[in-house]
Amino acid sequence: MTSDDKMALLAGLVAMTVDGTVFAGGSTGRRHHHFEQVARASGVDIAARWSAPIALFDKMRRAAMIDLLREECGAPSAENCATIKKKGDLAVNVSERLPATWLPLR
Amino acid sequence: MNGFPAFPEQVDGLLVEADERLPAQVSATMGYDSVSEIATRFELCQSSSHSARFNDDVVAVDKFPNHLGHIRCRKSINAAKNPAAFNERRDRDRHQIGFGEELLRLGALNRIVFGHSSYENVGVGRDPQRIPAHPSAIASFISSIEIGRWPSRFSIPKTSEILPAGRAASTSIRPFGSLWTTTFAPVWMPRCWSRSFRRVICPFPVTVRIVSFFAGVSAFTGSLLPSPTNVMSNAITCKAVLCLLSMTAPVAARAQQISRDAAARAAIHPVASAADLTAWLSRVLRTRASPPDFAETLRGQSSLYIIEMTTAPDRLPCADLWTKLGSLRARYGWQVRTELVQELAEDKLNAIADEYRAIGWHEVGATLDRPYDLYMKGSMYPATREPTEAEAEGLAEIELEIETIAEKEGEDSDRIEPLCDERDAITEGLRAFNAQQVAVGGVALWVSHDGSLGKSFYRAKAEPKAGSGDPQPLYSNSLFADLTRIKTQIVQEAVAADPALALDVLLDSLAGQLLHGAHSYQMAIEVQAKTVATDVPDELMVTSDVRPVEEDPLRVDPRRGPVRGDPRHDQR
Repeated sequence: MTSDDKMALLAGLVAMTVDGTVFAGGSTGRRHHHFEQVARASGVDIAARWSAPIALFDKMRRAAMIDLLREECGAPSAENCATIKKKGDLAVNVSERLPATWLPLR
Repeated sequence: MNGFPAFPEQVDGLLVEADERLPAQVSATMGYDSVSEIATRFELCQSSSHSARFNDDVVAVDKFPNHLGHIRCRKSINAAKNPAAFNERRDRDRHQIGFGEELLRLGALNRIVFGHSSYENVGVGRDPQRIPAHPSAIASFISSIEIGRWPSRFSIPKTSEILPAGRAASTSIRPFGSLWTTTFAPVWMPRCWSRSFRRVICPFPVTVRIVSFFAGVSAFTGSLLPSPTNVMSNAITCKAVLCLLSMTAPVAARAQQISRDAAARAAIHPVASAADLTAWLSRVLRTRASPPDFAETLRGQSSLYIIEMTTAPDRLPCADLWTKLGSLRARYGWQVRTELVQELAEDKLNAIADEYRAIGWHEVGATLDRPYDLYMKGSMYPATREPTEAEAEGLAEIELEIETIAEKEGEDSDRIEPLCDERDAITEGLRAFNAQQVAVGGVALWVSHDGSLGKSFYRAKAEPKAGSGDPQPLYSNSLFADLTRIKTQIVQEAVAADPALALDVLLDSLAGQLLHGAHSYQMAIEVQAKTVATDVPDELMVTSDVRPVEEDPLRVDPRRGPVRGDPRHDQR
């Protein structure tokens, strides 16, 4: 195994241990602060690697989606979507109205 | 009559006398303080010249070093204020539960019986199967044993219809083993019959109460004693139920009235120190011969012997006694019932639970075992409050002093560690459950496997729903957790693609843990690094210049040459 291979293996193994997760109901702490440092150091563009799918909005409350629209797209858009009765339809509309690079956690 | 040794090998210092008329003897596990001695005699006798007797001696100490402590005499521990004290102190508070846990491990905790009365010295106590209590009847019965009118214990009745007609009997459920027990007047008849596994057995309850006083030592054996007055300290009731195969004829016995003075002369051997005890023991006759099949006989009849330890909840068993009973169980397979400790542990837990309730916790539960559903409840951790002005000033002063010392004397100065401890104490004091947490929090208390107090804090009351005017979080907890996992995946991918970054991250984590005292859970990568101790005496390393790596991780590697920062490298 060459040195490069070893380094690649090391990188993969270290990456497997990177932990920025938060358990349900938990709060962030020093680990997550450290994790954010690693994320910034990696220079990764989250938006380039992931975009919010409709399933994400399906998991959100109706009121939360309206609030999100009001925050991201303005009150008229939010009021317009508030008339949508079905939550699934509302999720699709929210997904379409939000910018493509929108990220839930920033 | 010949004396049979209960312990031919004299395990645990338990003495058995060859002299049949010897009064109670002493064997002791020494306590920390003055030693008191109590002799208890478990007798298994037969009528006529074939009667066999073996005596077990137990010793109570005023301060029990290794067993359940005396609750009343102990300074109570405020578990809420000092939760660790339950397990930290090397005294009876710890051993109380520890003893219980030991029994838990032995699987015998569910077989303990407590008595609920106390007697001065050692006397005859309440019949466990008889209500109301009738100590004198038991005393008479014991006396009847001693006078030798005992039927053959090897005679096995075919039925239990040897119950004398007209006897008022009471039936009670026995805690273990037997399906039911019938009890009736004890003086002239066998004390009780029970049907156990379709075999009629006749247990003979022998109840011995042991009390040790603060200043002295007292012991009586198997004698009739008056009701207690001024019982000051530890008391223990030991009910030894010697189960024999029921007899074909009722036991004929007469109460042998023994005066208290006579009992004292016969059984009390006051000692004030370990030396006195040793001197006294040196005069005790020892059993030098025993029947060759003694152990085999007892082991073969293990199902016939049941020993129950009972005491009032505020009384304590003697560890020495328990050790001996444990030896009996291990050696001969006797049943030893130990519900005693369960009640003591429950009382202890309840007392601690009351302290938490007094603080105002929303829910407090105390159980012997860890609640099985505890994992389903959200854990609650103490909040960290802002330091007061005094605390902030104190922390600043300590930090300044540490820096000053480090500059003058180096970071390895011995003066720094006490300051760090002081700083940590202040910092730790900032962490506590606040009123809001207490109002909605729950406390679960249980006895851990190591005998210490197990406790967990959790949210017992749901968070109040936000009002219509309060801002609502956009994401639920589970969705938020999913989003953090998504981000973690993305960062992991980036780190895996950048070996240099991965190496930096790894070094950062290792250095943080090993050099700067950080914990693995504080680092971005889940790698737990621990220093492996390689300490050896210096005299074993005088011939080598190898030094522990942790003294200077950047030192020269002799195989690979100097590393940066090494003074020898600089000299070269």
